[in-house]
Amino acid sequence: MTKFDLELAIEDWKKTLRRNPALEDGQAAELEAGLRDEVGALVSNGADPETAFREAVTAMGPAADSGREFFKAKRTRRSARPSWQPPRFVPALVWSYFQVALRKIRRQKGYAFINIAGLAVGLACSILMMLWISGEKGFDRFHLSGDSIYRLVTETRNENASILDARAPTPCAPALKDEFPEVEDFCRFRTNNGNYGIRFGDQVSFTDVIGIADPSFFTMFTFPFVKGDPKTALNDSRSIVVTESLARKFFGDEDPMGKILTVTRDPYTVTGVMRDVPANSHLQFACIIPAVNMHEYHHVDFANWQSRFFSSYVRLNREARPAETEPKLSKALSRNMNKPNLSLRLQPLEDIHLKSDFAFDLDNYNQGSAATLTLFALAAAAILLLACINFMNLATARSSNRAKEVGMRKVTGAQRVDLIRQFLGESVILSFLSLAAAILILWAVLPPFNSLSGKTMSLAGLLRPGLLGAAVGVALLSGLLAGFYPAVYLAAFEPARVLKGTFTGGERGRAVLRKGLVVLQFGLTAFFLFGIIVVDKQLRFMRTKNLGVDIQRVVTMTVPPRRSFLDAVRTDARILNASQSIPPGTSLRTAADVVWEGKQPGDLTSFYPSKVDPEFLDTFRAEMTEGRFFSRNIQTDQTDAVVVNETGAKAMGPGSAVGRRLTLTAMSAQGEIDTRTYTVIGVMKDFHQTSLRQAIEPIIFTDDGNQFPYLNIRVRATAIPETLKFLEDAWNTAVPDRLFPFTYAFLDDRFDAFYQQDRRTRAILGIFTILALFTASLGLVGLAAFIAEKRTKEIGIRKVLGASSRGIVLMQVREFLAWVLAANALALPAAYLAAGSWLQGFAYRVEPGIAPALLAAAFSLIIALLSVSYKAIRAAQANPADALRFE
Amino acid sequence: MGSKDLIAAPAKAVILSLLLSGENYGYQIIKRVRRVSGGALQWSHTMLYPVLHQMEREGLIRSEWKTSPENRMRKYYSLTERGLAELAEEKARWREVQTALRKLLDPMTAVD
Repeated sequence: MTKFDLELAIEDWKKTLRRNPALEDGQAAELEAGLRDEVGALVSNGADPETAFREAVTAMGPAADSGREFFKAKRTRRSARPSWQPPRFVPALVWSYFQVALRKIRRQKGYAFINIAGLAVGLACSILMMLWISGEKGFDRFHLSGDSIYRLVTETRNENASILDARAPTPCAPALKDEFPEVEDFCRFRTNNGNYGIRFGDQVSFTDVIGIADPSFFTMFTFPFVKGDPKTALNDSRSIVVTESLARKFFGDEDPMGKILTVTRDPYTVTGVMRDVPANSHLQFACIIPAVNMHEYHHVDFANWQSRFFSSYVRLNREARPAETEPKLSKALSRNMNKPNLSLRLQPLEDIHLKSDFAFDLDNYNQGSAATLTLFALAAAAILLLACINFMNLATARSSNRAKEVGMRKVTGAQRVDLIRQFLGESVILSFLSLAAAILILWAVLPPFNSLSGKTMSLAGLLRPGLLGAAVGVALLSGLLAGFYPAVYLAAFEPARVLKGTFTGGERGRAVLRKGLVVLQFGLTAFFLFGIIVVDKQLRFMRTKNLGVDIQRVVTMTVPPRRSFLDAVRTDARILNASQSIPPGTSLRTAADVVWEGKQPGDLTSFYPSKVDPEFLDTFRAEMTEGRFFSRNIQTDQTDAVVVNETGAKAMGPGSAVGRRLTLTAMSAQGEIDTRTYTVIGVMKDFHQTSLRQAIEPIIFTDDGNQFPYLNIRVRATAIPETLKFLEDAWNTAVPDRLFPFTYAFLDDRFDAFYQQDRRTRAILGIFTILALFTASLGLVGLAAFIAEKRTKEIGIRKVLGASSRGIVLMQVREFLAWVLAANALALPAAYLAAGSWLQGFAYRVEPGIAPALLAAAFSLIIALLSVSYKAIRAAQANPADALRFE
Repeated sequence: MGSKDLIAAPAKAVILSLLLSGENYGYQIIKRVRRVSGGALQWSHTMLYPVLHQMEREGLIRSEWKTSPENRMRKYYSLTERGLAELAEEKARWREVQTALRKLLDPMTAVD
């Protein structure tokens, strides 16, 4: 411990006094005299100097206090502002701030462009996502009692998974209403899949979607009527409610009420006209007919619990808690069906759009995906972050340009807070300019983006107060975020150092931070690049994977029960094969109960029944691994034989499946539940019935495809257009009354459609990747330009000393490339994990492997190289005399 | 004694009265006030000097830097003519206040 020195202690104390702007020197001296008197008196009373000093200081009172007291004593007005405190608001300065901000933009067009363009792109992405999210979240919110409506989702648990079906057994909803008082009402709904038309006189439409619903539809859901009574409109079994646009299409300006429309062959009387269905409804239709007609058209047995045809909705009373009701309803279902592995889930109406990933969902509308939405929202936020980083980076990098301004302002009395406010103001001005640019960008990109994403977003959506506020808020926030660090950094400059000229700007610490930000930017970019490469790889894999069947050049169609058409097709030479079967690419309906010899009790394996005919094998070029396929020449095949796929054979346990007897309970074409015993005659090689997202399920094939309206035709590669023409002519001959439309699809297109959503994801992710790359390289261009400028003299000297241009370019580029490599090293493992979890959604998937990582790294290096080289080469080629002339 | 304002309020009168017995300096003033008031008035330097400066500007007192017997610089304050006059007024004012307060705070013993 050092000895206490009174004089030193008093010196220190005086220093603290001097920091106080209110104390004049004379006053300080007087205080010092007082202190010395106190100390002297205490010491003479026997205290040691150190204690005396401390006590004396305490007796003096704190320094700040004394300043205020002295000022109070001097002032002439009670509320006067001390001269050493700046005025709170100086109008002339605001104008100066504005001028300086605009001058900076004008004089440094390149940097202003980088900042504004980057922020504008980031803001445009963010606003786009806001529009998208608010649209997606707004689905199905217009129903008055929407918050008490639930859809019944049927869950079937088997040994390895549970299958969720968006439909419920047909009699389920009414039974629940009868049994449970909390179920106030129910309604079943589905749409026809365009396979029967609506006609009025000689006008016919196959494209308008016919909704099929219980009469309670219009009391449960809120679709406002223009004419007619929603309560009774569907009471008559041959009544039809049409939307305004359908009414206009068929009846023009005439009153639609009471007009007769023909659906299939039956007359339906218009009993109501409703407003068009809003786009943000998961229930989409052009007209509604009562559900009872399905008994006739689709053999729906309304008393049969095995039948699943409709999506069923229930409305619970206000007091009911779904969490308590759900198990009760589940119990009722498994009791009624005598199956313990069945249960019901109550899906809130508002969740249907974003949170449905079920089998047999309504397929005539564009379903949303919460996961995709999150992915895109994060991507947009990342791009905005990149732009903000650019701003921070450039602003601090160029800080030495503004050091003199900061110095002058401080010398003339500006405080740190004032400067921070000024610089934040500048960045907010820039961010609002960017917001204006962002809205222009959106105006330009919304139409193509809508067609890519299948949405109908418009800038008008931005006019809703919430969204507009959010957009302005994001702009303000990003302005503040981007400006905060530079503002604090700039405002901290010490005027003496800056104005004396000893200040160089960009000290070591700052440079490290700037590099860190570049690493972060390129890390995000590498993440995106890796992601898009993996998504692309998976999509290619799915497109080219051998499905086990040949789906190229197979035309599939739904045919009317007209022998003449089938005969015409079968005898035409241009057609290689024709098979009446459920084609690959069609989801097989409900799993069937299968009992085989030796089945373990408790084995919950579900088999999916597929209806085929003997031509199936040749038409789809499928293969057998064991036994034989159905044959036209063996009569008993239709009634006594089944074929299973390999997965099915494996599920039946060890030993050959061929020759085993099994009992199948399934629904016949007539909608009756049929239990029959068959012999397994063969095992078919596994093929993919549906999307590669799903694992191959056990399938059981029966030879009764000719009872279903499917027809698949393999055509010659050389004669596709003629064959299609021939098919259409044959159709028109066979169906002269145009009761059924001639429609067909190529099977490979149908498989492609499984991945439509994934292709959209790829396209949108691709756009984001490009934007991220664009923003990050903008930042790099700016930084490289700045550094080249800083090093002008160094480069000049190096050249004078004999360095080659190439060497100098390399020197500059090498550093940037090292950062970008570091960014890749950090980001790619994270990207690898993220891609892995996305791939989990596919039962059959690629391994990301090392190639996408190398590709992403190489690509980001090339982009970085291109961004940096231009300025680097310019700097290297400059005449050293120019750089050194003023030295 | 209580709040800061209450301590500072009579400062002018007290200082003038103390300086009546001759010139004095900060530390001594503080000590005297403390002793005479029996510790009820605890002034600090930072409170005292601004008051002294204010009074000096009003011409009630004058100040002079002198070397003390301990060979240190000290600022001594002494009364002016105006100060003397002011002291009389201040005394009268405080007596009035004193009487008024006594009556107000203890109304039972007060005589009208």
